Amino acid sequence: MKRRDFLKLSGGSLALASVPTWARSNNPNRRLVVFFLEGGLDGLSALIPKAEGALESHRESLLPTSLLDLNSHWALDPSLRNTHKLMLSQDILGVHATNFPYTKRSHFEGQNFIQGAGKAPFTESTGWIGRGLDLVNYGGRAMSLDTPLLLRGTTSIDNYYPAHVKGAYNPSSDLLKRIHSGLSEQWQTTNEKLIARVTKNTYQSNDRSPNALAREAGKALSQKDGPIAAMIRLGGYDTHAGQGSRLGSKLTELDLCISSLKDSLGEAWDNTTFITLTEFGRTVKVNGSSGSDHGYGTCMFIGGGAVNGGAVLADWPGLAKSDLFERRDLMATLDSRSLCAAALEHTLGLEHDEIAERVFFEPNLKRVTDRIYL
Amino acid sequence: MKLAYLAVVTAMLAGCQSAPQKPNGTGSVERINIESQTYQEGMHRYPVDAEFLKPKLSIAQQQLAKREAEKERNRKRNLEMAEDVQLASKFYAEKDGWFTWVTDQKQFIAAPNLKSKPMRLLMADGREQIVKGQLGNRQIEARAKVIHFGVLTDRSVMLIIAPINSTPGSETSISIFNDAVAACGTALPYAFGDIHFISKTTNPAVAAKQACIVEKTQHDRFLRVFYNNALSIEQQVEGAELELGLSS
Amino acid sequence: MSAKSPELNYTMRVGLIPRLGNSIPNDPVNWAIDQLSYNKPLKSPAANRSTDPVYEEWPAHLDPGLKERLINVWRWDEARESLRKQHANEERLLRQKLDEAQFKYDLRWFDAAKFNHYGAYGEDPVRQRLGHFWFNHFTIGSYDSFYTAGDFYEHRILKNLNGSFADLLYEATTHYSMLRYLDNVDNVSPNSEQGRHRRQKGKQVGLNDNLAREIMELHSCSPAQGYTEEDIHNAARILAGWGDYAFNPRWAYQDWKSADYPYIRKRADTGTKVVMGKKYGRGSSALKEFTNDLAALDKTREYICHKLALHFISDNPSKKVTQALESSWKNSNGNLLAVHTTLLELAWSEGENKVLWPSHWLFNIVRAADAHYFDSHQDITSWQMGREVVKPMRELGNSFWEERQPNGFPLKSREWISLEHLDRRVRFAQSVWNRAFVTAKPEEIMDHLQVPLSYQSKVMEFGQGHEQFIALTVNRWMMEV
Repeated sequence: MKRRDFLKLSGGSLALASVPTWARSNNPNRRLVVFFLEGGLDGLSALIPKAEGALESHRESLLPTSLLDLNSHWALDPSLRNTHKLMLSQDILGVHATNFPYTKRSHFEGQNFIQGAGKAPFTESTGWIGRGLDLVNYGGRAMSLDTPLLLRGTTSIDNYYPAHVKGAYNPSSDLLKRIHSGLSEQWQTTNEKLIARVTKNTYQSNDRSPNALAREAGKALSQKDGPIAAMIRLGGYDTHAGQGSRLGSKLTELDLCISSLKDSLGEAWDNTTFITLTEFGRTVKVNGSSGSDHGYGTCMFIGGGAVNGGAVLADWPGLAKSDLFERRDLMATLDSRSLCAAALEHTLGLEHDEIAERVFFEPNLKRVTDRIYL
Repeated sequence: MKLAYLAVVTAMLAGCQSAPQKPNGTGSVERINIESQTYQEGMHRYPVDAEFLKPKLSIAQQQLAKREAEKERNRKRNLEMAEDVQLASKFYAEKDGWFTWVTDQKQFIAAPNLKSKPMRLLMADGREQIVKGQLGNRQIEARAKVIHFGVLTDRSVMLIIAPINSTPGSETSISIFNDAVAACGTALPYAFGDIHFISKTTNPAVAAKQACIVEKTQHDRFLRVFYNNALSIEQQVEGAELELGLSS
Repeated sequence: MSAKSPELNYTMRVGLIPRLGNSIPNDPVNWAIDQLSYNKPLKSPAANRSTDPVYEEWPAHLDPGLKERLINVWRWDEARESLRKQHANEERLLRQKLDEAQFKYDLRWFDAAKFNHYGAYGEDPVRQRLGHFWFNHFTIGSYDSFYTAGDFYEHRILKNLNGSFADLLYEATTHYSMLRYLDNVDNVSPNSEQGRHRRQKGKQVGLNDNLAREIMELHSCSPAQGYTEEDIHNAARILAGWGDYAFNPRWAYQDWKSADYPYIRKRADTGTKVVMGKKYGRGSSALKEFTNDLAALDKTREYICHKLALHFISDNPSKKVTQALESSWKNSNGNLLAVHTTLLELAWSEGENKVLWPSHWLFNIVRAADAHYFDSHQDITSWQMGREVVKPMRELGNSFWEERQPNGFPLKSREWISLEHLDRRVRFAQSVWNRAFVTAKPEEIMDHLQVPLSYQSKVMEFGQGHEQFIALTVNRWMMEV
């Protein structure tokens, strides 16, 4: 199918959903969760433009045997069962042919750029969520041992990642207070947070699977004084070889994380947005080892109670060779930063212009908030 | 209207992809100039097909909907149960949660029989015995089994008569019985071609199904006599002392 | 707390603290430079669970050479296949048999234990620290790359620390661990004999540019060089044919030059390739030519000198430092002995605040307390026991024997500061005290570390031994330089 035909089919199907009042209320307890899919998600495999004739000729061996249908154009990989349900109940929006404006296909530059969101990779020592949180002086939480760049920029960031150390007990707040003076300033700030956590005794589980971390993040975020934003990393998306089964199990993991997050948030789901981020998409054509190589455009999922879900949003560029970026990758026609800015605007209650200028350093960044939220 | 909409979206998208910025660090990033890509159509929303789409609900509404659905299920279940109890009460007495068959005319006249022996069943207890004798005006020779189903939840006791020497008369009774089972259903397992009888159960639906079968087979004299004397047969299989007189 | 002595600080910046019982060097720069030519084998306890350990050399059979290891990869593949058939319906038995078989053929846990022992007992900590830097620079990290990771560290990294960067780059690129980690074992040229054959049979075949991309981006010139996708594509053509999944001595087609340099002609690209304007011919020699050219680039020199300074000297290395390193590189034609010597000299005078990697912190506290914390080869009696070896470093987020991102561990201090990292330090100090047979008294350790008396009395206020040890090890002068 040609791209233009593909678009024609959708021409008349502009749906105007009525907006429930609960989604409009100005709630100060909004939350943001990022699932960072490390390695480069093959967007064409997760959210499949099934009406594209070129899909089969490019990558027949990468296509799943069954699909979870959304409409005549789009379907999900069969591993995304919960995601599918939540798309049908209008809680998740799929966005396609999108990425940050970064085209060099390097994991490290890409991951850094997507988290730092500066003018170029490695120019920023803070991340876009961290900078946003700093503007409103809110806190965030990284579900990992270290603090990822994305959340840096505000002092009120902590981590959660259960310890497995033989021959050691949970440190007591008394002990931590006593070692405090021996620490340098940069560690003292951290120690204060650790003392606060130990005092509250919020250790809950020692399960460190992404699914468990999503559950813990949901629990923490649902607290009234909980963190505003959280980031959960999911590795293994760099599917150069044997993509079929490997990606399937990764997508199942993501799918479980999404449903665990929703369950553990409880009613806070209505005030929460989650987004998926990844450093780039992958080549349209299958490579020599039944996988795909680093590419450009990919898909993104945005979900939550206030999200105007139940649809795929795209300016679909098509998959004919001449439509591809450098004749090999899905073109990105939508700057993901606009989507990230929308999530920040909704969550933090900041003006889009302020976010564009002070968080993304891009005064011209366009506002798409009304396309994402009810 | 639609044209205007598209124009707005296109303008928005053109701006979305801002021109490459000069990097201010040592690294360089090649930002592609999307403006050179002329996508007139702009950003589209492809909604999920209406046939798949479900209403969007808040968590509170979802929980409410869930509770409502549960309530509806319970209401239905209660209604069904009331109907079952009503039907069952035609033949069963209800006491302490048990529905017990009420009639035993003790007319079963049996020859001295073989001793009963335990059955090897996986999920239930049972005994079986060959019974030979007269029921009403019909001679019977059958394998009788009494099975106690269930341990924790719904419990039932079932008597099964498997004819050994069938006569045209017994074949008629069996086919009438089978038709009734097909119409009323049964909650407990038994082999096709046998006749079964529930003497006791904690589950009103089981009693109601048996009552239904009984009602539909009242016109068969043998079956009627069988129900009215089944408790005696059951007692014999279970090894209880029989109070009825044995014929010569 | 007053500052620790510059000598002790220096040993921690470029090396590791001398074990308790050895003195802190008076002339630390020469102490460090001398270690560059250290060539004695490692001596360490053969078993960990002993209060009176006997120091022995690491057994030779645990370093059998790359060819033997690769034949073992093949043997293990064969064993796995047949065990799966044999015990298809006995899941638990199968798991056990698989573990036993892998234990026989896969030395990864022994390699990890040796790596830990180098850190805990090595008399060449400066050489080890440089080894860690380069092992991290040439990151390997997939499960499969660990079959031979010990060989990679020992015979490609440590062995080439004093030669040219060009040689190190070539040696690292051509090792099985690297070829497997960055998927070059799948890199088959479509115009090669095997490529054409496979295509005729309707099979997938093609280039895999993973290693080609990273050799430029991560290992040599970095994206600052401004190469194109076309350059990467052609670099992948140069690399096509290097590496295979295992070494099967029975396969006639496996025409490797040798296990050390596994080049398979039948997969190689037959055309000429142009990378960054330079032409490369066919054959295995093109790769050495290519890595030599990469090593000679200005951007390679800048990138590597910057990384060295970042790791050892400062989170924001001054121009003075990077220029000194670069001119040492230029004058010596990229000779690492010269560059490392300059680095060690600069570290004395130019060093700024750095947070040490948690692995180095752990090695340091173990050394300072003369503790025996890490399992040795005799402790590893099964595959399951082997898994335990890597757990401490994994828990600290700093294990060289775990899957990780190809750009390795971060070099900047702030990447290592977090609430959970602090929590881990406290736990590991406890764990070392509780599990490692520390017989030294806190006072002895403090004397060794030249802790000022004022702080000594503070430490002694912590009542119990393990608390004193935490106070002694989780502080600015053990965690930072």
